[in-house]
Amino acid sequence: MSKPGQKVFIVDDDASFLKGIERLLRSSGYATECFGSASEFLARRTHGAAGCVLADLRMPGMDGMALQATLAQSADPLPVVFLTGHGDVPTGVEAMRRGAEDFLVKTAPKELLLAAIERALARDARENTARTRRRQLQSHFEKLTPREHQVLSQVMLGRRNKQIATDMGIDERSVKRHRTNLMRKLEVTSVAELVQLAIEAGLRAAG
Amino acid sequence: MSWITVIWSIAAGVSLTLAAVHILVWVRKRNALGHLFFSVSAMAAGVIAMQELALMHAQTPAEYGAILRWMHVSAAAMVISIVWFIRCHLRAGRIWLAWLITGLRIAILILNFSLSPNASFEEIHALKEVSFLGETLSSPVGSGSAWRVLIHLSSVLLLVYTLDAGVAAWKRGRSRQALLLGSSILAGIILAAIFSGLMVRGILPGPFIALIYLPFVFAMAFELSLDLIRSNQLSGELLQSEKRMSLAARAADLGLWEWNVVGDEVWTNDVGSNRVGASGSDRPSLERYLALVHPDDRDRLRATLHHTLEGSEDFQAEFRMTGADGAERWIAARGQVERDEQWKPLLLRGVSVDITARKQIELELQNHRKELALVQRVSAMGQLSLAMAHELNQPLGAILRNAEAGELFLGQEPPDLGELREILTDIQNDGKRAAEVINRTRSLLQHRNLRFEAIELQELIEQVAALLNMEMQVRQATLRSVMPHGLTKVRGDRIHLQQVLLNLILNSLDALDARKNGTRCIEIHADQVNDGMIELAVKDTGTGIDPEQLPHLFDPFLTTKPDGMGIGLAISKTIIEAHGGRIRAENNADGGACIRIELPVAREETAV
Repeated sequence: MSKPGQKVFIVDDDASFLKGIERLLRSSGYATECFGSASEFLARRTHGAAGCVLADLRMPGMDGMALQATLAQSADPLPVVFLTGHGDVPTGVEAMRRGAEDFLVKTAPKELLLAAIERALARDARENTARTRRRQLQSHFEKLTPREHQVLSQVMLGRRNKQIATDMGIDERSVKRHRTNLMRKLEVTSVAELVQLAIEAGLRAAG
Repeated sequence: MSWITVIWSIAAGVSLTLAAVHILVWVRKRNALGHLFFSVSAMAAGVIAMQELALMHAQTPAEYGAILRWMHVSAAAMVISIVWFIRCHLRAGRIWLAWLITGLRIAILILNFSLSPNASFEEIHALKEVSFLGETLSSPVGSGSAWRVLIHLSSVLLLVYTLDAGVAAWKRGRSRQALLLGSSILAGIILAAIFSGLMVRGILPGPFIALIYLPFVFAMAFELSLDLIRSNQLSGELLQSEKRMSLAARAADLGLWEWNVVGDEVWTNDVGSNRVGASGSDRPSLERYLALVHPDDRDRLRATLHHTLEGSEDFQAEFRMTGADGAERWIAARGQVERDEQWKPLLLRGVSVDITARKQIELELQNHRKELALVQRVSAMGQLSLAMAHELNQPLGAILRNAEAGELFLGQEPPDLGELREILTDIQNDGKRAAEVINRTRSLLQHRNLRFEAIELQELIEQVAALLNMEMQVRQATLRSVMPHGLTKVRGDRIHLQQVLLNLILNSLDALDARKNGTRCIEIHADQVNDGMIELAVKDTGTGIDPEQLPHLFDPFLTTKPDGMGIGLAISKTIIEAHGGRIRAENNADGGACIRIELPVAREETAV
């Protein structure tokens, strides 16, 4: 069962199969949206929408693998579950290696199919939370002044105020003030908390 | 009994006997008109001999005149028949001269009956007695008719005509006949003129024509006896030749046969009759003979026989007969029709050979070819199996998902019946779609003989394209067919032609893969090249064919592919040739290969 706001985007050139799987997912309680080709999906999809992609591997024009590659490069990639008429092992392995959630034949048991979709949706939710948090943090960090950034990176290297002051050529009181300000802006109370947050935001010590 | 009576009676007898002999010959051989004319002349000579005998014993001038008048009839018959005999026998003489003499003699006859007493005399005053060969005979005393000049003229013309015909025959190498006939007739004509003159002057009792004719009769009798000797010799040679022929026929196991069309009798030599266990002396009618032929071949053979009689071609047929041992035997027969001048068939004569062993080998070969074709077809289909499984799993997956959804819909309160109905319709459609995929391939996996029918090429190409649809998609190639609208149908076996196209397109796909880049296009062009043939060209933009391999391309077990068997093109060639067509390969000027196939157009089925 999908969480509110999550959708399964189904991409398949076979209209009949598209209709069948849409019915199954809908009656199983998923929100769905159908697309007849990979390019149609890429053109029409709403950016930032949550969910997963269920795509046919073999399609005329852009095939499933190419769709996955294009999606992976976008800002909001979605987990992909591949379906194929006939599973050939090398293609499946390649798809999984590139990060597909699963690779199933079109006649796979319903349970396997729904489980794969569940996993994909859960992964999307997870990745989405992480992405949201990262974006939040990034916006926090963006509020810091260049001086505060400099101080922060020195702090993360574990240096004392005195050393920082000497290195930056300012007095120790100014360093203290920058530290207080940046900890207030980032809503942290301890140095340990500050370092963890910076790592989470993807900042590097030298940054 | 006087000498005159004896000699003249013998002359009459000889002439009439010879006339009878030749008339009999003519009755047997109606177109041998020479015999008829000779017979008429001999008959006339016989009658003349008797008339002369009566003439010489005439008692009054009136009686003499009347007999001489009737003698003109027989003389005319004799002259005219000699003229036409020369033409028939020597095959020479000018036709206008022949007609002139004929007309002149008829004119003399008309004069003869309109003048009194006849055309020779203006008047016969009296008869005087002449002693000849110790007998007293009557000789006319009177004045000759002025019209006798016509009789002389006809004699001169006959002389010229005979000379001319004799020379012409001599030149054509018939010297003996020319000399014998020419000289005897010439001598006769000259003697007749002299004797007739002597008769009119009262020196001879009659024209003695019967005697004059005798040398001619002997000349002809000599000819006839030569013919007899020759025919005797010929029949001896014929017997020898027949013996040789029958020895050769028996040694070669060659059946000789004749069908007398007019009398409806079939004759076969001992080889032919032993083969079917019939007695050699039996001469069955055609229908009785056909009863020995296999029922499946009987109508066809009968039709071929009648077709031969009507047409101008030689007879040629292969059919089965029940042999003497009850086993089936294959016979090949050839023959020629003998016809009369009106082109009416008289006789069909020919030879027959037992080809059972050859047919058996052919049949085995055909079976092997059939099996090999199936193996190759299955292997070609194997190349498509991945694409086909994919194509089949599409509708099957759709069915499965729909059924699962349907189950869930049923669990809802209240169930959405509209949606359920739609689901069932979709399931049905997908079921049909899956069945179609299977049907398309099933026929290709069956064992089958060549079954010819009229095939529309567009339809054939579409069927193969449907089979290859998924494979083309996966390998990202396009298939295009170009042909004029309303192209004539070809005569062929659908499955086998599909196999050939499948082979060629799969080869082209491999060639496209080997090239890596460039346009990936396969084109099929079809067009009529002449009255009887349609050409189908499969062109690709692939790597083309190595020129060194081009001459051996259709040899079996030649392959350019690492996993190929090398029988695809060899089988394709066998199939096309079994259709009476041709297949060849070339490279396009702008790269890629082109395989050209010629197939015969489908004709309206006509009776064989």
